[in-house]
Amino acid sequence: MTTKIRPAIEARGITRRFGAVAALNGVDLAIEPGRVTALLGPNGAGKTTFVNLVLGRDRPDAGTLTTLGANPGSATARRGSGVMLQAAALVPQLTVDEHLRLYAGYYGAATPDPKLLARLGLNPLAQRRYGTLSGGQQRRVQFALALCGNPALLVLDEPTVALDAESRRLNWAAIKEQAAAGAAVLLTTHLLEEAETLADRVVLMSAGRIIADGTPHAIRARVAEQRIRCRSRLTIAEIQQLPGVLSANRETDAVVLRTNDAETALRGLLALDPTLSDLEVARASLEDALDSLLQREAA
Amino acid sequence: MNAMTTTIASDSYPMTALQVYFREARAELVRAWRTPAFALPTLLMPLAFYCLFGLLFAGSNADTARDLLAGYGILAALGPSLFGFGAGIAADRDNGILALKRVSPLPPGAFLAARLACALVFTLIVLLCLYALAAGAGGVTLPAATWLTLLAIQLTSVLPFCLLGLCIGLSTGSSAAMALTNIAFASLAVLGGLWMPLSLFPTWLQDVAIGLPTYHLDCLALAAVRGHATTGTLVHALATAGFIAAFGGFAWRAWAAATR
Repeated sequence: MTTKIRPAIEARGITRRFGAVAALNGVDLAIEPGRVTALLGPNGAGKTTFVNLVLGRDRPDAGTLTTLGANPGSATARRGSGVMLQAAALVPQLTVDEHLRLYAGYYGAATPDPKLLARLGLNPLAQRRYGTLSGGQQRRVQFALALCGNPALLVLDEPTVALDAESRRLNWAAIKEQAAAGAAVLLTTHLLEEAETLADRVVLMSAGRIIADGTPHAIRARVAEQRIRCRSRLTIAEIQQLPGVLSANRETDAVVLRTNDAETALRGLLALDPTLSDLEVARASLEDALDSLLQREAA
Repeated sequence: MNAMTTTIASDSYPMTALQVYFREARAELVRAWRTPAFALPTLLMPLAFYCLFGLLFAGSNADTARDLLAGYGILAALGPSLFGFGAGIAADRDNGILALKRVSPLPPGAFLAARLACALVFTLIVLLCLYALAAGAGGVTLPAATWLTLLAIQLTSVLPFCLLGLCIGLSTGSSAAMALTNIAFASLAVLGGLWMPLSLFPTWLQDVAIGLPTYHLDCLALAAVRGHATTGTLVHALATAGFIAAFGGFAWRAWAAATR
C-alpha cells in the first residue's frame, strides 16, 4: 500500500464530443501495471473512443491523458505499447514469420522471441501467407504482433471478436501471462464471460461515463442481486408487491423474479402460495448485475 | 537448441533506425512482387509498348527508338509511383493496415520511404530492361554520360509522381482512388506525350501538355538523349521543380489531415 506504482494510463476529466454526443464525458481512469483491466459496456459506451485517445489516434476535447507517462501517440508511448485494433488487417502477401520479424524490428528487436509463436500455437503457420489464414488464425497473428515488442502496455480492442475456441484459449492464456509479467493490460469487451475470466478489474461504462469500477466479484456484490425461479399460482402483480422483490416476469410456465433480499422474498412467497414448486435460487450473473446497474443509471 | 541460442544472441543487437527503414522497404518490395496485379502491368506494360512503337513500328530507325526511349522511361516511373501511392495507400487506409502501423513504433517516415523505395526499384528494373532493348534491338548508341543523365532524369520523375499519388491516396477511399489513379495515369501518359508524339494531336490538345509534369519530364529526357540542351530545357527543369513543390505541399497537408 505504501509503494506507489505509476499508472500506465492516467486519464483525468476526459471529454470527447462528436457533434452533440459526448462519447466520453468526464472520465477519470488510471490503469495500473500487472493487472488486466476490462472496459465493459454496450456498443456506444465510449470504450473504443477511450482506446483511440490512449493510442493517440484521436485527441480529447477536455482533460489530460498520459500513456506510459508520455503524450499518447508519441514515439515513447508507441514503443512501450502493443496494440490489437478492432478492425485491423495485415498484408495478405506476407507470411506470419515475415510479419513478426517486421514488427519485432519496430520495437528494436532484430528477431522476435522464438517462444512467442509457440505460445500462440502459430509455429505450424509460420511460413503461411497471412491472406491464406482463417479469421481466427489471423486474429492470433495480430495478437502476436501486439505482444512481439514485450510491451509494458497491452491495448486490446475487442480481442476475442471472430475468435474460435482454440484461439480464444491461447490468447487468454497469453494475456494473463503478460499481466503476470508486469504489463498493464487494457481490453475492451462486451463479452461478460471474457471480462470475468480475464480481468482483475472491470470498469463498466455507459454513455461515455464510468458507472462502476471494481473486481468482477465486487461489481456483482454491489448489486447483490439474486434470481428466484418457481412455479406459482400468484399473479405477477401480487409477486411485485412482496417485500424485497425488485422485478418479476413470467417465463413460459414459471415466474422469474429479481431480488436483493432472497430470504425475505421467499418467506413472502411461501406464505402466500403453499403450492409453490420447482424452486430455484441463484446468484445473478454478471450480465444481470450489469443490466441492473445500467437500468438504474438510465432511470 | 543451436538455432535458439543464435536467435537469442542476435536479439541483443538493437536495431538502428536505418535497419527499420531498410526492412520496411524490403517488406514493401516483397509484397509488391507477390501482387501480380501490380507487378506484371508495372513491369511489362512499358516494355511491351516500347517494343511495339519504339522498335517494330519504327522500322529499325535508331533515332525514333532513341526519342521514344525518353518517353517510355518516364512511363516506366509513372506506373509504380502512381499505383503504389494512389491506389495502394488508399487501400491500406481502408483496410486498417495503415492504422496498425500508425500506432506501432514504426516512424511515419519509414512507411512513406518504403513505398518510395519500392517505386524506385520497380522503375529501375524497367529502365534497365528498356535501355537493354534500345541498345540491343533498337540500335541506340549513347555516350555513357548520356545514359547516366537519362537514368537520373527518369528516376527523379518517380518523386513528383509518388507525391501526386500520395495526394490521391490520402484524399479518397480505395475504390475512388483506384478510379482516380487510372484516370491520372492515362491522361498523364497520353496527354503528356509519353505514348505517342504530341505532334499527332490537334494544337489545342497539345497545349494541355504544358500543364502536365509528364510533358516537362519527357522534354528533359529528350534533351538528354538528343544531346542538346536549350534555354527551353531550363524552363522544363523549373516546371518540374514547381510540380514537385506543389504536389509535395498538397501531400504534406493531406498527410497531416489524414493522420491528425
